[in-house]
Formats: sequence, C-alpha cells, structure tokens
Amino acid sequence: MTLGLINANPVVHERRERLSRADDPPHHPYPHPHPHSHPDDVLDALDVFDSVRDIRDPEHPYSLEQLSVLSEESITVDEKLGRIQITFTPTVQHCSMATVIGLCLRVKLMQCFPPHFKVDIKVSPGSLANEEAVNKQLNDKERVAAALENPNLRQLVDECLYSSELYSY
Amino acid sequence: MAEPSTWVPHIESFVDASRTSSQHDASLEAIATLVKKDIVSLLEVVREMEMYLTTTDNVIRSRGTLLLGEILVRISHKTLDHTAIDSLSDFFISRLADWVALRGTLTGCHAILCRKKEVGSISKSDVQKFSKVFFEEVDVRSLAANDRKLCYELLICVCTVHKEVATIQGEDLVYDILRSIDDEMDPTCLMLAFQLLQSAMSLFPVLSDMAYQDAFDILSKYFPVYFTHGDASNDATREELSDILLNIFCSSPKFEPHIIPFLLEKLSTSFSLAKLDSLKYLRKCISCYGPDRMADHAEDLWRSLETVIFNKEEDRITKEALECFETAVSVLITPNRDTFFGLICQKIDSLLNRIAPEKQAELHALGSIFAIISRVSDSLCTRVFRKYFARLVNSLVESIKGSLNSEALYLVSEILSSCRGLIQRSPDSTEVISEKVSWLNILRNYSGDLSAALLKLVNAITSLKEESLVVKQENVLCAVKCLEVLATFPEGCSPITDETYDLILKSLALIISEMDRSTLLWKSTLEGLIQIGSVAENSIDRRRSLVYTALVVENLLSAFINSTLPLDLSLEALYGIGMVGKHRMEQVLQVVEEIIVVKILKVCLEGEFVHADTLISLLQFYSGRIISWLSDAGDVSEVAMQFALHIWNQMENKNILKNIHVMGILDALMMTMKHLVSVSTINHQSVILQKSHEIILKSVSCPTEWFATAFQNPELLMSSPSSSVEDLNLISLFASVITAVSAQTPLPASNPNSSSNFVSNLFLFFFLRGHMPAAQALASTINKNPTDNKAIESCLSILSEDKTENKQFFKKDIITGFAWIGKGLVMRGDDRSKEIIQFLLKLAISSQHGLDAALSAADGFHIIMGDSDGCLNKKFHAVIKPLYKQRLYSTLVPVLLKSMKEANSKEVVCRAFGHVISDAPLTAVIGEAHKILLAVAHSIITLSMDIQNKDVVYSLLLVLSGILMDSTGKESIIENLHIVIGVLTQLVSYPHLMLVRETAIQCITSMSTLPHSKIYPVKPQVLKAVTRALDDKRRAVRQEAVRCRQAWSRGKN
Repeated sequence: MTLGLINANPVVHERRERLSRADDPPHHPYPHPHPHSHPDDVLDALDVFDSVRDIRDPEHPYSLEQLSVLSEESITVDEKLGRIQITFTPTVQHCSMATVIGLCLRVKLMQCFPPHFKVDIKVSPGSLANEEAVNKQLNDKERVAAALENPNLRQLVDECLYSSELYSY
Repeated sequence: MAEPSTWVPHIESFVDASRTSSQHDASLEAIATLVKKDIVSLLEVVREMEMYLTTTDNVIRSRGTLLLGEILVRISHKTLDHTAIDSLSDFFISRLADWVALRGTLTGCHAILCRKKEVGSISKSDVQKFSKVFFEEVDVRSLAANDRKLCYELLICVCTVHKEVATIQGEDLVYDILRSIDDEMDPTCLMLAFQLLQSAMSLFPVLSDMAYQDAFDILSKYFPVYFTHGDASNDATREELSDILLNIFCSSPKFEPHIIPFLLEKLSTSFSLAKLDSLKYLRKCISCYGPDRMADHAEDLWRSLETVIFNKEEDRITKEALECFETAVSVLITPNRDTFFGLICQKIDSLLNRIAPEKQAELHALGSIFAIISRVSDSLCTRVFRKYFARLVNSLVESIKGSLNSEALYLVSEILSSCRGLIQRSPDSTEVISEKVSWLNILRNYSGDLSAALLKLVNAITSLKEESLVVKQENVLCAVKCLEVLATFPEGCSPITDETYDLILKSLALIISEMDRSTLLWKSTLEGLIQIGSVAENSIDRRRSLVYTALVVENLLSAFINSTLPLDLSLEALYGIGMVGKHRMEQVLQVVEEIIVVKILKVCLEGEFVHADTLISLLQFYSGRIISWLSDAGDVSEVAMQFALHIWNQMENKNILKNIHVMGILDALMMTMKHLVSVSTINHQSVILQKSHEIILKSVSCPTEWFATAFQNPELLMSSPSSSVEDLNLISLFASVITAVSAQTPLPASNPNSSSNFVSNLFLFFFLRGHMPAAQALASTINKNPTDNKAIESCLSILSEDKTENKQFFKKDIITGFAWIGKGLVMRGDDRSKEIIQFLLKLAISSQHGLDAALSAADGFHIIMGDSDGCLNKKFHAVIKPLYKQRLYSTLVPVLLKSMKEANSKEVVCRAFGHVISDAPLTAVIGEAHKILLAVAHSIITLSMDIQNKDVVYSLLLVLSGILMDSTGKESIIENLHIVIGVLTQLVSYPHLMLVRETAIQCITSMSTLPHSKIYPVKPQVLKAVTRALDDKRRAVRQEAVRCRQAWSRGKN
C-alpha cells in the first residue's frame, strides 16, 4: 500500500471575490418604515456555495473552492420543492477522497440548512472512475450515518469543516 | 523576648515538607513578623535553626536555608549590625557550592546584596568574594527557570548597586555573564538576561573587540525575536524583548562590524518578521553609529534597501524600508561623503531612461525615493532640483503637446509636495531665498512653464472644445495636486506670479462648477481649494485673499444662489470653504440666510411647495453645521439673534403664518429657532424674547384673559372655540424660543405691573388643549425657574382636584404633556414630580380610564427617563441634577415590580417597566440584575404578543444582552438559566421584527460559553429552536442561526 498523497500536486485556483449582497437590508434599530419593502430572502445557490466554499480539502491546506472542486454553478436549489443538489468534481480520476469530500459536504449542509431540504450530492459525470458507486454511497442515509459513527472518519470530517473557519468563540 | 517554645513550632512547620504551601507561608510570615517587631532576634532564630541549616538531610537543609533567605527578604528594611551581616553573607557565600539548597542560598544572597547602606549593607570585599564564588560554583545554565531568574536578578543587583566592585573585575565579568546567559530560551528569563548584559556592558566604556564579537555571537541567535508557542502567556512580550536587544546593539558602535552585515543578510531572507525587524534595527543602528562608521556599508546598504523598495513587498515592510531609507539619507549623505547619493542617482538615472506606464510599482517606488530625498534637507533638495527637476519639467512640458508623460507628472508632484513641506517646516525660510542656487530659485525659473503646462492639462478636462488633448482623470488629479502645492507656498516664498495664481484659482473653480460631482477629482479639487484658501487667509498679503474671495468664494456662492450645483454638494463645498476662517463662514452664513428667507416666501406665499424639501435641508444645514461651527469658533450670538429676529419679522405676515406648517417646514424652523436662541447670550435672548412676545400679544386671536384662568375652569377651556392654525403655528414658534432660553433670562410679563406668569399661563392654556410644543415649553419653564411656583401649582392642582373626573384630561396629548412636565421636575430633582409620577403610575396600573390612557401613561415613562433632542437637554440649558435617572429608576422599579402581578392590564405595566429599564443607565440595571431579571423575562413574553410593542421588546432584549455581557450579570443569568433560555428561544421565532430574532440568536450564541455543567440541560431545547431558525425568511437570521448551532454543538469539546 502506498502511503503518499493521492494527488500530491493539485492545481490551485484563485479564490473568487466574495459577492456582497446588494439586497441585504440595512440595520434599522427601530421599526422598519416600510415593513413590506423587503421581500423575503429566498435561499439560493450562492447561499449554499457560501456555506461550503471554505471546507478544506482532506489532503491539502486549500479550500474546495481553491481546488475548483466546487463552484456556484455546480449547485442548484429549488426552494419550493425543498431540494439542494450539489455536483462536485474531484481533482483526479482515482481520487479516493471523493467520499470524504462528499461526506463533509453532507455534514455541512445538515448543519446549515433546515432538515426539510432533500440534499443530493453527486460527483460530476465522467470525473471519477467509480462514479456510480460513490454516488450511491453518498446518498444512502444509512451508510452516511454509519460513516459518521466511525470516530476516525468523524474527526477527519470535523477537521475539514472547522480548520479554516474564521468564526469561532 | 518571646519564649522559644512559642515560635520554634513555626520553624518546624516550615521545614516540614509534608505541610501544605499555605501552612508554609503562614509560618514564614509569623516568624518574619516576630523578627521585624524585635520580639525575637535574628541571632536567636539562626541559633535555633542551626540543626536545619547544617543537617545532611537534603530536603530539610534546603527548606531551612530557604526559610532563612525568605526571612532576610522580609526584613530588608530592618537595621542589622555589621557582624550579623558579615556572618550571614559568609554563610550564604559558602553555601553557593551546595546545589541542593541553592534556591534558599540565592534568595538569601539577593536579600543581602540589595540591602541599602542605611540599614547595614554587605561589605565590598564580600561582594567581590561572592561574585568570584558565584561564577566558580554556580552553573546558571543547568538550573531551573525560576532559579535562573533569581541568578539574573542577583547579578543585575551586583552590576547596578555595587558598580565599583563590579568594575574592578573588568572584562572577565562580561565574559562570565555571557557564559551564563548563553542559550537562554525562557522569555521572562531572557528579558532579565538582556537587562543584565546591558547593565554589565554599561559599566565599561570600551571593551576589547573580542568581547563584542562574543557578545554578538551569543545575541545574534535571538534575532529576530520570535516565539514558537505564541506570546499570550509570557510576561515579556516580543516587542519588549526585541527593543531591549536592539538597545544592547545600539549601546556601543563597536558592534557595527558584526551587526550591520548580519542585518543586511537577514534582510534578504523571505521571512517577513526577519525583514521587518532588520529594517527597524538598521534604522536605529544607522542613527546611533553615525556617518563615519556607516560609510563602509553604504553600498551594501543601498543594494539591500533597493531590493526591498523596488520589489513588491507587504505594505508594512515597504513602509519600514522607506523609513530606514530616510534615516540612511539623512545620516549617510554629508558634504564630504557622496557614495550613497551617487548610488541613488545611478538607480534613478537607469530608471528614468526606461520607465514605462505599465511598471506602476516601480514608478511609485521611485516617487517615494524622490519625495524622501527632497524632504530631508534644503541642500539635498537643491541637488535633486539641479540634477532632475529641470529634466522632468522639460519632458513634461514637451509631452503636453503630444502624448502626456504621466510618469514625469507624477514624479514632479512628489518632489513639489516634499519641498513645500520643507519650507513649511523650516523656521527661517529667508535663508533659502537668499541663496542664489537654492531649489526655490530653480523652481521659480521653471514655474512659469510648469504651471502653464499643468493649467493646459486641467483646462482640457473642463473645456469641451479642445478635443485634441485627451486626458485621463488620474493625470488631472495629479496636475491639480501640483497646482495646489504651487499655490500653497507660504507668502514671501511663492514660486509663482500673481497672474499664475489667479489662473490656477480660475481653473480649479471651473472644475468645481463644471465637472461630474461624484468623481474623486471633484472632491480632491475642493480639498485643494480649501487648502489654498486657508493659506491665503493666514497670510498678511491681502491681495491673494481678495482674489480668492472673488474667484472661488463668490463663484461658489453664485452657483449656490442660482442652484446650478446640486444642493447637497454645493452645501458641502460652501461648508468646506467656510471652514477656512471665521469671516468666510459668516459670508456663507449670510447667503444661506438670504436664501432661507427667499424660500420661505416662495413656499408660504406663492405656494411653490416643491421648494419645501430644499428649505428643510437648508435649515438643517444652517442650524446643524454653520451655527455650530461658528459657536465653536467663537462668538456667534449677535449673528444668531439677528437671524432669529428676521424670522420673527416674517411671522408678522398672516399669510406666511397660515402656511408655515406645511410639509414639515415648521418643525425644521422650530429646531433652527431653538439652536439660534441656545447659542445667544442672555441679553440677546431677552431681545428675541421681547420681539416674539410682542408679536404673540399682537397676533394671537384668543383673548389673553383666558390664559390666566384656563386651568381653573375646564368647562370653559373645552367649550371655547378651537384655536386657529395661525395661533397654533405662532405658539409653536414661541414655544421653541422658550424651550431654548437659558435659566437666567428673565421671561416677559404681559404688562409691567402683573407678575411674570404670562408665559406659563399661555402655555398651560394651549397644553390643556393638547398642543404638544406648548407642553414642552411649559416643562422647560418649570425646569428652569424653580421660583415660578405658580405654574407648577396650577398644573398639579389639575391632578389633585376632582377635575380629574373630567374625561377630557385623559386624552393622549394631555397625558404626554404631563409626562413632559414631570420630566422637567424630575431633572431638577424637585419633589413635586412625585405627584405626576403617581398620576401616571395610577393611570397605567389601574387602567380605569381606558386602555389608551393607560398606554399613554406607560409611554410617559419613556419621555421622563429618555433623552430628547428637542427640549430639556444640556444644549438647551436645562437644569439637570446628576444621577436623576438612577434615582428615578430605583424608586420606580419596586413599584412596577409589585404592580406587575396585580395590575388589570399586565401589558401596560410591562410596557412601562420596559421603558424604565431600557432608558436607565445600563450599569444601574446590571447592578440589580438579580432583582429584575425575572421581570424582564416576564415582560418580554407578555409584550411579544402584540406587534405594537416591538420596539420595547427590542430594547428589553438589548438590556438582557447587556446583562449577559457583564461578569456579574452572567451569574444572575446562570441562576435563572431555564427562564432566560425559554424567553430567548421563544424570541428566535418572533414574527414582528427581524432584529429581535437576530439579537436573540446572538445572545444564545454567547451563552454557549457559560459553564458547560450549567448549560447542558438546555442544549436540546436550544438546538431545536435554532434549527427552526435555519429556515428563517431573512438571510441574516439564518446565518446567525448556523453560527449559533455550531457554537452550541461544539460546546462539548
């Protein structure tokens, strides 16, 4: 068994600038002059992307965004039907870390979005050798639950999720 | 003398290693106190301890020695005779070899060495003996950190208190010390080690070269000072260590051959801390070692600095490098040493030949270099001018005809601003002028061509005709900056002619009136003009000031009058220009006043309501900015009074009066009137009062006799015909005058014979008819004139008598009016405020006069406890007793807490409670957190039912979060954790205000840091509530919820 990295030298892309949302309501200390002037903030792909872009790659000290594993375009959200679909692209064809990345995504989404959303996580078609097996594994809730019971795996996921977090108490 | 049996047990207790450390401390203190008070002599103690000091049992011996040492530390101010000291020092010095008991020995030595002469100190020979034995027997490097610390302190004591003995030992001492501190890694000890070395080296003016070499070898290992484990827990910070290391290096120029090459080498590493520190050290070393010693390094120094300055580095490194360069320039370039300057010139020459627009970073570095050399000294500036200025100006002037040489323009602007700074700093600028070849003369020779070129560039952007010259904004920005510099030289040294000065002003004024206002160019041109104005204002030569008035000020004013500029920008520009000087601001003020009056006439007489908004912003600008600037700058009273009278004159016109309240003009006008009155002197206030009083007497249509008796006869008050709009407007304006007068200004009487009750009767009459400004004015009068009892009594009589049966008194306006009067009394600390407070409390608690009345009464507490911009504040001369809020708070809270249970409408009481709590100073509330916390929680829950209480809910939540942030407040929160969490989790889904939801979640987040044993029972409840918030309509709440969930679910770790 080789102990080396699966992809020792990944291509690192520049981080895209954080979009500041123009429609964010200003903070009024006192009642809104026009309570109806701000429509509800609908959950969109950028919301989802913002929550997962900083997840660290299990192998490298780079975020999934920097490694181009994820982009805003690879996420679709349907609020009415309550569905979030994420397609990610592992850096190499034989990436055995794909399941870990998928697991991280699922845990993060479970933490950030209400439970009534159905989350589908897939690897993008043709990007992985054992694509079908991975897809099946990632969307099987029994197997996900079992994976998270494994303390080593759980620790790895937590490291990926929290290592680069700016917000901490 | 005490019996040994009474104190010997203390010794035994200290020596017994099995006792606890607190027992050890107690017995040590006990013995030390006995010795200090002469109840037991030191000799006796030593005698009793003999066995402990000499035993072969290592533990007991070391405890015994430590006891003796510690006793000596504690009696350092007690006089001891020579024999005692001699024998003690002999004992301790002999024990230095006993490494097992070393801690006590070191403590004892330190105590003896530090003793003052007056109380008996160690003899010189013993000090010498000590230091000999110490270095022979004690291997400092092998000791534990605490013992090393003691050693360093001991040696510092030798080097500072016993200097003469230390000096005798010569260089050996330094070597011994160096050997002891080698490889020290503990930050606290290292700090002491550095201090020790510093004091040791300061004993000898010169040491052998070898000593410096060795010291450098040991010290350089620490550069750059860097903690591998963070510096949070250390006593010595990185900066302190770095500074003291730098001081050691700077202490002798003999370090120079070692340190300078070392620093230059470190500068070329990629570790940014090393770069930063090398630059800092270099800067200090250069100025300490001086030009002679540094001359050899000039070339290497320049090469290293050049690399840093011309390569892209972090901002702080570039900044530090430029500062270092400035020091190098000022130290290294002397009349007989030219190497450094030569090197710089080589670089500049090579760059000037091939500088290109795409190499912005290089250009900026070059600009900074030019700026630094030209601002260091007159002679260097002259050299730069001779060598480069003409060349740059020529290529700039040439390029204006074709494609612009923007690099030359940028460099010229850098040089110009530096040399202006030079002349502004130098006290005797005349010297520079007298020198024929000085830079100023060169500048004068070229200023004609230069300013012509710059003006052409600036004019190109404002004129549409000249299509031939296409200019970029940033170039014009640069040109404007150059022109500003040329026009702001102090008088007597101005490089430009008067004609050029006029042209510059004209061009810049044109940019202000013609260009797009949102651009940076517009703003920086305005700033430039303000700079030019302030120089012109301060010069004795009136010509330039006059030209400035004619070309800039009047231009702007006419643009303002004809409204060719958007209002906010022209006001901004006028304010900027006005700030140049007092008489400029007065000029602006006059014009604004005129326009205000014109607009009033237009709106009220001609019915052109489109001007109403302009008028309101003008009034706000006038009272908020011009008047407050002028009152800060000095006496504004006369001007303010004149304008106030002017406004009152307008009010004599019935038609104006009839329309003045439309579209909020009256409110703005009232505020302006309040400002005008409040900045006037007492005499001027009287004049305004007199004038307004006359107009009131003349114009108010209802008979004045009514006023005096109104309150006694409510029937008449209600049945009389309602007042006309004109009357109400007039009373409002008069009320604003009365609100803002100071307490010393006498109020007018209706006729000279009657008492001075006219004003209060008038306002009482209108107040009882529900006119709010009248109520506020009445409250102000009552607040400021404590002698005017009649008005207060009239008010209170209404409350006390059975007139309260009359339903008319329970209207919202009247209750609110009473609250204002109550505020006036409370602020003054008048006991009669109790009656009003009780009236409001009764109304709120019983709700017998309907829910509306009760709610108004509850809101009355917001008026009484809160701060108001419109009246009864410091600016409008209210009489304010310190801590009145706290006093009222502590009387009101118990009553409200009690009535919360029994009140008819709990909501009203909770609302009143909410106002009192949130308007009181937070510290007062936190102090009583344990008493009120439950009531706050209860109120939030009660109030959250109804949407109209959302502001109160929010303010109460803020109080709760304030309590949560405080350390004592936290304890009360922990005691009532279940209730607080219950309230907050309920607010997480509060439907009426997003801020409440967001703040509630933030509070819950910060509660995750409370002790885990307390919070774990509520965790499921919190997570459930916060999970619901993940689905909130607003994004901000959702994001807050994610953070909160993370904080709580990670709490277990």
